[in-house]
Amino acid sequence: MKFSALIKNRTALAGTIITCIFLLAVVFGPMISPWASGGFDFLNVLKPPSWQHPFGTDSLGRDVATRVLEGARISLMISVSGVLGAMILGITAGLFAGYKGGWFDAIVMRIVDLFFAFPAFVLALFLMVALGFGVTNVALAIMLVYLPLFARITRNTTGIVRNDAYVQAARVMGQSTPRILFREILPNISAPILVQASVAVAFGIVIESGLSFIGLGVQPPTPSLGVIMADGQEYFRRAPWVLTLTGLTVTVALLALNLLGDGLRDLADPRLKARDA
Amino acid sequence: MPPHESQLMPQGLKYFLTRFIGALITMLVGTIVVFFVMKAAPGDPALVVLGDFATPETIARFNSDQGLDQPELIQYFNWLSGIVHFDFGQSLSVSKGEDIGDLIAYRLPSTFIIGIYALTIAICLSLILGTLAATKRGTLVDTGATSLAVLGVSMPDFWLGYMLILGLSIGLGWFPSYGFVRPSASVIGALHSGFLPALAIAAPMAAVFTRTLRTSLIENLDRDHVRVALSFGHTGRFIFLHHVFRNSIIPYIVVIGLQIRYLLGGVVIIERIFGINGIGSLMVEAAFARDYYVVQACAVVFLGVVLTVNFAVDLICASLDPRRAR
Amino acid sequence: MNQPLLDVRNLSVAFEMGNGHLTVASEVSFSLEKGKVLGLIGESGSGKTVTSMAILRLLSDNARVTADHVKFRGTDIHKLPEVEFDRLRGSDIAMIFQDPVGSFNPVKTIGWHFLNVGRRHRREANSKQALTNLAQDALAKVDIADPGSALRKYPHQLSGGMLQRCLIALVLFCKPSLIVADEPTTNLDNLVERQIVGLFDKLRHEIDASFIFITHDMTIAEQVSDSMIVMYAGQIVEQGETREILRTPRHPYTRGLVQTARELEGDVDTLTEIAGDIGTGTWSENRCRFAPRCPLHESACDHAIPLYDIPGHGKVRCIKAEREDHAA
Repeated sequence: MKFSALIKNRTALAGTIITCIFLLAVVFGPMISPWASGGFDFLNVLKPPSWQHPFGTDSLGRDVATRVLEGARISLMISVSGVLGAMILGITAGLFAGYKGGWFDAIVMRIVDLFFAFPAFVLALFLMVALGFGVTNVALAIMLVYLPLFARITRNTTGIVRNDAYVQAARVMGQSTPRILFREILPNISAPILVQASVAVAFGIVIESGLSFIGLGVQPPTPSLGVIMADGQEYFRRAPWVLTLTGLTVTVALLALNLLGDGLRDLADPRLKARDA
Repeated sequence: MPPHESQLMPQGLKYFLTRFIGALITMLVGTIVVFFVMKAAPGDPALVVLGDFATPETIARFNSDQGLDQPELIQYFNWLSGIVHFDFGQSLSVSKGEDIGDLIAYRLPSTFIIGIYALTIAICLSLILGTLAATKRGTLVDTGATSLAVLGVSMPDFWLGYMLILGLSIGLGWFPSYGFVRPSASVIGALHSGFLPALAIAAPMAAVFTRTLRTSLIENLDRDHVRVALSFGHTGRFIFLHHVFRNSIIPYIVVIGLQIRYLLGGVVIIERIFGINGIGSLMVEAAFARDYYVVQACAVVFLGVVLTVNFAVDLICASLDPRRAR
Repeated sequence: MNQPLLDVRNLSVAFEMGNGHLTVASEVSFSLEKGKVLGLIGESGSGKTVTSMAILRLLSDNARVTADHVKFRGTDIHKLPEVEFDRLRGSDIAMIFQDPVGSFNPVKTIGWHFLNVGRRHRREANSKQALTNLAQDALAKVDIADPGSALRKYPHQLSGGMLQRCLIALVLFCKPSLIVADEPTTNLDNLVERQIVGLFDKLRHEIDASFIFITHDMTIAEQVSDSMIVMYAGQIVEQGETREILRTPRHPYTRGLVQTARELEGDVDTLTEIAGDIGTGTWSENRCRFAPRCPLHESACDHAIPLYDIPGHGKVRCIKAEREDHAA
């Protein structure tokens, strides 16, 4: 029992540490890597992992590790910007809907229900067909996929707290509605939203890499994790390490984000921890 | 005062109707959104079919044949009335001229079967792991199961698919890495060829199910009525079945319902990787081929499936928990 | 039969925490005759609930229960293997819990509870209809107006008072010889509380069972119990016949409780308060645990105080009481 209490703290800690390492690697890695990005080296095509090339080389002789770090940067940027957009729009809509109620709330919720009726990936796919391919559109698609999620949780939590004492106090003091929403309510409901955000960024990466993997997302030569894996798919039997190691990187990143999200959730709700007598 | 026992019946019916009508409305609005968003897509159906060098006359003739020269609202209603009769139009490019309804009807069963297969694997795995983790809470078994669960949620499903191919197909040669044998041809063949794709989709779902079941069971093990039942001398098995498990099942089923969305999304890529001729791969092919009609139709089919499943899950939960059907 | 129904000697309960253990009840000894009611009085944290749960072996795995013996009808039931003890639960020894609302499975009807308990403990009824009839009789006995309708309801459709009656009926349904009622009225409002206490009073004369009635309210204890145990900080501080203890409480804590109860019954402007609170944490073995709050505290109290036997009264864990008795 003492053991599992430690573990719970450790998971959040581990998650944070790995995420930080990952972020540092993504930001600074390509700069300190000895290999030029996009540099071809036709003498060293499809070499397995070694000390010089920790992830091996791909079909054009490029160092896969460097490319993965660049790709991670791009995938992360896409996912984060998509999620940020979803948060800004979704939280605003959710705050107003949860606070005001009435017809606005009803319409927002109907729209949210509609979005939730589409499988996330199918929705993203559909949007790519409608919008066209490319980096910005992938981010846009991710934003549209996650917008309803943030709208819904914000609206639900706002609905719960809107009759709390501090809100009523602000109302009585004559504060304008936007002020109440953003200054009073939002800080208090930020916990579940942040937990969702970490999960959303994680899955945003999955959606982006999935779309790029089947060729409907980021287009080569721009490296994103999905593009690299699509590349690796072509010569998978001959050189499985490209796809394997790239995917492993994604898994580790997701693992870190999930652990972080779990840790945040545990901090917010200690009742869910392992209970004693 | 008359007894209240029949109070649940008419309320249940009201619940059913509200939900059903709600689903229909969502479906309707969904078709509107799908249609008009698709209209806004770059590209011209005429050029897709006739090629980039078509003359304006052939394009005009094509458009009037297809009814594309009419106002968009009229086009929408034509399309909608077609859908109600399961007439989705003809494919533009994926399979030129072929009735989309036939295409979908041919491809849907494979997706359906893989989906059910994946769901079954996920449910079985999570029932075992979740129960083990909850009853042996705090021990190594629990930590192991929970760690597996976190891992399961962290792996991109298409990557897992390839890892399974690497290990079990290329490596050990136990399973095929491509193609799906239809059950109408051979049931064993279907089970065999469908195992890897189903497993790839099932893993993340099983992870979520396991965590939900475990949390739910743990909460219910602590409930007062469990202790009361114990004080009445009921056996451990009886209590677990009727007081703990029975009460934990509802959040579990809710999560299963929620994950169906994910399931349908995952099917898309997995079908591509494993070369399965299902709706998912149809939609991807259509996306590449700019076959707007097929993409539209697939989107609507997915929408319909999700709404139906949600509705069914709602009904099941309402019947299991008397407090919900209010 | 001169053997008491229940005879407990030196029962102690400790919980294993991460860094050591916490003793919540120590050296509890009492006996209960057939057909009598034992009142177990104390405030929260006194160890009364834990003691009764320990007797029924309902505590969680990290509880360490030790006793010289816990004899039920002459057999030490704590030496029995779990399987055999299970047979006693419900049929011979049963418990009425404090919170009636949480005690029923919310997704099952009241009738379902009766059926399943009945299948186990009322084997003489061999059909569902027969069990239903017996259940309705049980509900009628606890003054429920429409038993048939109550059986078909779900817990959330009934009030707290109704549920408590159903729970009592369910326990009686099993015809146990020993019933532990753990603060059955605490969660109910006053009016309902009086009704339930009245019900208990009626039942104890009608039914051939012994009760352990746990409460923090002296007035209730006075009404329903024949003998009583007053617990404080995990120890018995006073023990004896109810009427005698209420007439002459000898332990300062008991005196405080009785005085407050009398004042509440009467019409006074101010209530006497027992200063301080029970506190938390482990108790030291080497002093009177009530000393910090006791108006009569002196240096002699800073030793381990045994339970003195005062003839004609009962047992008291207080040096002063012992001295007074000797002086008399």
